[in-house]
Amino acid sequence: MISAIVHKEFVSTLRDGRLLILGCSLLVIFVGFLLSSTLQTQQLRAEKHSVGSTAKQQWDTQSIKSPHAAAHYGIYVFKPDTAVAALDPGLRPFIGQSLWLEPHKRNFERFNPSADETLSHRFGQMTTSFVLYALLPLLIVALTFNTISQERERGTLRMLHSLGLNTQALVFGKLVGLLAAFSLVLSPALLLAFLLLQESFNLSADEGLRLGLLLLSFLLYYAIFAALAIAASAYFKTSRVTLFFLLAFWLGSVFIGPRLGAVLAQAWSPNPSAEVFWAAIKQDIDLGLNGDGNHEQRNKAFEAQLLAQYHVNSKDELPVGFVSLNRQFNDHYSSRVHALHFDRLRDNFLRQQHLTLIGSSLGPSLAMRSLSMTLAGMDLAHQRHFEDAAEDYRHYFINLTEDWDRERSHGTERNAKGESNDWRSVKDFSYSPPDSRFALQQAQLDLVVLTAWLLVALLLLSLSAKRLTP
Amino acid sequence: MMTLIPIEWLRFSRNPLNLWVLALFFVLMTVSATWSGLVAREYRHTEATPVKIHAGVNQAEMHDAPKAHEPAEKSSAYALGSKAQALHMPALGGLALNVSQLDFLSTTINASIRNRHTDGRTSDPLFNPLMHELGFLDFATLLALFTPLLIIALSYGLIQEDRESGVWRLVCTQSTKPWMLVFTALAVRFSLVLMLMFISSGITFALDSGASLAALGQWLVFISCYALLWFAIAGLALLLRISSGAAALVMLGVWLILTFAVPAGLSFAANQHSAMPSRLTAIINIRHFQELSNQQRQSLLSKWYTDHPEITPPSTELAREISSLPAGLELDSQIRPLMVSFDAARKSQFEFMERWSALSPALAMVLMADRLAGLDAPRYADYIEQVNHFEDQWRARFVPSIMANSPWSANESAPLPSFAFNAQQDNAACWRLSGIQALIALAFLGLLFALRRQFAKS
Repeated sequence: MISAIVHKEFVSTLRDGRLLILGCSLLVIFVGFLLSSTLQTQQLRAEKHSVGSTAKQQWDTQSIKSPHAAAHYGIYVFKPDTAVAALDPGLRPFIGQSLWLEPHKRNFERFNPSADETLSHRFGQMTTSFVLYALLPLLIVALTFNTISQERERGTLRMLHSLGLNTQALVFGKLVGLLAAFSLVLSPALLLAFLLLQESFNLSADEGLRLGLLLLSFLLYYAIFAALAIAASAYFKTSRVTLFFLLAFWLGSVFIGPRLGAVLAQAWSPNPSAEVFWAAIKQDIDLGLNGDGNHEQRNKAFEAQLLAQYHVNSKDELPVGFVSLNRQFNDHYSSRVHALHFDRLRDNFLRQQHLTLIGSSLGPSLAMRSLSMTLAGMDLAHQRHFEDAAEDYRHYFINLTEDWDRERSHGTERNAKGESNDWRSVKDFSYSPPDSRFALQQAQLDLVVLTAWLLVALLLLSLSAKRLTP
Repeated sequence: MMTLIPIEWLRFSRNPLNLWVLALFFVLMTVSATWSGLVAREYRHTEATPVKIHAGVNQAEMHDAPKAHEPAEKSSAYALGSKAQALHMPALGGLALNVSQLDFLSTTINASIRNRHTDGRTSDPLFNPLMHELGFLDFATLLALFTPLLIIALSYGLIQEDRESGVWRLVCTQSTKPWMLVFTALAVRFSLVLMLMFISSGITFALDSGASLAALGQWLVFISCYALLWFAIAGLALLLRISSGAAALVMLGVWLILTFAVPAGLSFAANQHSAMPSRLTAIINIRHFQELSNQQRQSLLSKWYTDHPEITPPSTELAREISSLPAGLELDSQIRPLMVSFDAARKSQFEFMERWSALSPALAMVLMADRLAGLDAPRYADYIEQVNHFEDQWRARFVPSIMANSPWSANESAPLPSFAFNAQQDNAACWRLSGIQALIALAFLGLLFALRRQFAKS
C-alpha cells in the first residue's frame, strides 16, 4: 500500500504546475547565484594570491635597513577560501580581508567587505546558500501546504478512509514521495554545482567530502520541512490555515530565530568594545599579569639576569645586542598578554555561537546555516584556526629579525643592518586548512539540533496521522 | 463607504486568524522596537559619558618615541601631539531604526600626528561576525521585511476565496459597486496595520533617549506611504483570476523580488556605477608608499625645513621620531586619498540607490532609516572629511614646535584645535524618499481605481 502512495505522490508532485514554475524559477536563481559566487570566489582567490605574492616581493626587495625596521614593514597573510565557500561564503562579508603581521602587537583581520557596502546584507546574504536554506524550504511549503487538506476538501480523504487506508502509511508515503520528487528536481542543480566547482577549483578529496556532507545535511533539513508541512496539512482543517501556519513557521525559522538568537547571545554574553579590549591589553602589559611586576620591574629583572648570564657589569659590555634582546623579551610578554585576551574574546564568540542556538527553538534554519558555514570552512572555528597559524608565523619571522639584530650588534648599539638576502630567507606563510573531521567536530551541536528537529517533525507527522479524520 | 466600514470591521474581527496574525506582528515589532530603542539608548549613554581610556601604544611599541632622559619640553610637545584625540560622529534622532549598523562604521576615530590608517586599533570596531551574519532585530529592517507579509496575510484571496465559494457572484448581483466592498476591506486593514506600525515606532523612539520629533515625523510619513504602497499592490493582486493559494504565492513572489532580488540587483548596479576600489590592492599601494617614505626620510626632512624657512633646524641631532616625522606626514598624505576613495565610492553608491529606490520599497525604507539615524554614507563621508581637516589643524599646531625642538610651554597660550561634527538630518533627501514612495503608491491606487469595474466580474 505504502509503495502505491509513494508512487502516486511522486508522480502527482512532478505533474504539479507549481513545481514546474517555482522549481524552474528557483533553479534559475540557484544557477545564477552559483555562477556569480563561483566567479567571485575565483577572483578573490586570484587577487589574494596576486596581492600576497606582490606583498612578499615587496618584503623581499626592501632596502638595507635595521632588521627591526624591516619587521615593522610587516607581512600580510590571507585566509584561503575552500571551493565550498562558493556555495556558502559564510562569515566572509563580516571578517576582514587581510591580516597584517608586525612586531609588538597582534592584529585582527582588517577591512571587512560589509563596511564598504551600502546595504550591508540587511535582509540576509543574497547567495547560493540563501537559496538552499531559505527559498527551497519555501518551495516545499508551497508544494505541500495542501497535500492532505486538499484531499479533505475534495472528499478523496473520506474515500481513502472508507477503504481502510492506514493513515500512517498515507502521511509517510506522502513524505517519501514528495522527497523523492523534490530530490529528482534538485539533482540537476546539484550535479551542475558539483561540475562547476570541479571545473573551477579542481576539488580536493576533502572538499568533495565537505560537499557531500553539505548535501546530506540539506536533505535532512528539507525532510524536516516536508514532514512538518505534511503534519500541518493533516492537522489543520483548511488549506488557508495550513498555509498561514507554515509561512509563519518558515518566517520564524529563517528570519526571526537567527536574529533572536543573536540578540539573546549578545545580551547574555556581550563583547567588550574595541576601546576597552585594547586598553585591557595595554594595562596588562604595563602592569603585568599575576604578580609578574610592571613593565619597568620586569625589564630591570631581565637586565640583571642578562648581566649575570654573560658575566658583565653593564649593558654596553654585552657581546650581543641588548636592545634586541630586551625587545624580544618584551615582545614575548606582549604576545602572552595578547594571546590571553584574544583567546578570551574568541571564547566569548564561541559562547555566543552556542547561545544563538536558542533561536533554533523557532526552526531548524539557524542550525543548518551554522552547519553549512562550518562545512564550507567559513565559520568562526576555521577563522580561529587560521589566525592561530598566522600568529605562529608572526612569532617565527619577528624572532628571525630579532636574531639578526642581536647577532649583528653589541651592547646598546642600534646599528645592525639587514639586506636583501636576509629578507629573502624568510619562509613563506604556508597554511593548511583543517580537514572535514575538524569541521564535523565543530558542528556537533548543530547536528544534534538538526537531528532533534527531524525527530520532532517525524513525531508530529506520526501524531497527525493518528488524529487524521476525513 | 462609511456605512460599509463597521460591517467590514465585524467581518474582519470575527475571523480569529486575522487577529492572530495582527497579534503576532505586534508582538514581534514590539520586541524589535524595545531592543532597538534600548540599544540606541545605551549607545547614547556611552557616547555622552565616554570612559577615559587611552589605549594608545604600549611602552614596548614606543621605542621610536622620545626617551625619558630627553628634554622635558621636547618630550611633551611630541607626546601631546601624539596623544590620540577621540573624534566622535554623533548619531541623529532616528538611531533606533538601524542601530546595529553602528558596528560597521568607525564613529570614533583617534587622530593625532601619527598615521591612523595603518593601525586598526585607532578606529576599527570590534564585534562577533557571526552575530551580523545572523542579523539583529533592527526595527527598520524587520518592519521592511514583515509589513508586506502582514499585508499579504490579511488581504490575500479576499476576492478569490469568495469567488471559489460562489459568494462573490451573490455580492455582485446585490451591489452595483462591489469594488466599494474591496476598497473598504483594504481601508480597514490599512488602518489597523498603520496603527500597529505607529505604536511600535512610537515605542522605539520613546525608548531612545536621543530620539527627535523631527525624525519621528519623517518616519511616520514614510511608513504610511510604505504601507499604502503595499496595500495598493495587494489590491491589484486581488484582480487576478486565480485561486486563493495561487494568489498567496504570487504575492510572496512579489515580496521576494521587491525585497531581496531588486536590492541585490541595485547593489550590483551601484557597484558598476561607482566601483568600490579593492582593499587588497590598497594594501600593496600603502606598502609601496611606506617603503618609499622610509628611503626618502632624510631628503624629506631637509625638504621640510626648506619649505618652512621660519623654522630654524636645530643644531643638535634630532631624535629619530622627530627626524622621521616629515616622512610620516608625507606617507599620510599619500595614504589618505586612498582611504577617502572608499568613502567616496560608498557615498556615490548610496546616492545611486536612493535615485533608484522607487524599484524596491524595502530598500527605500532601509535608506530612509540610515538617513534618520545619521549613519548614511554621505554623512559619514562628510564626517571623515572633517576628521581629516581636524587632523591637519592638529598637525599644523604641533609639528612646527616639534620640528623646531623648541620648548612647548611657549605655545601653550594658543588654544588647541577642537572638533565638533554637527551635520544635521538631510530633510530634502528624506522628503524625496517619502515622496517617491507616495507617488508610486498613488499611481498603483489610481490603477486599481481605474480597474475597479473588474471586481464586478464574478
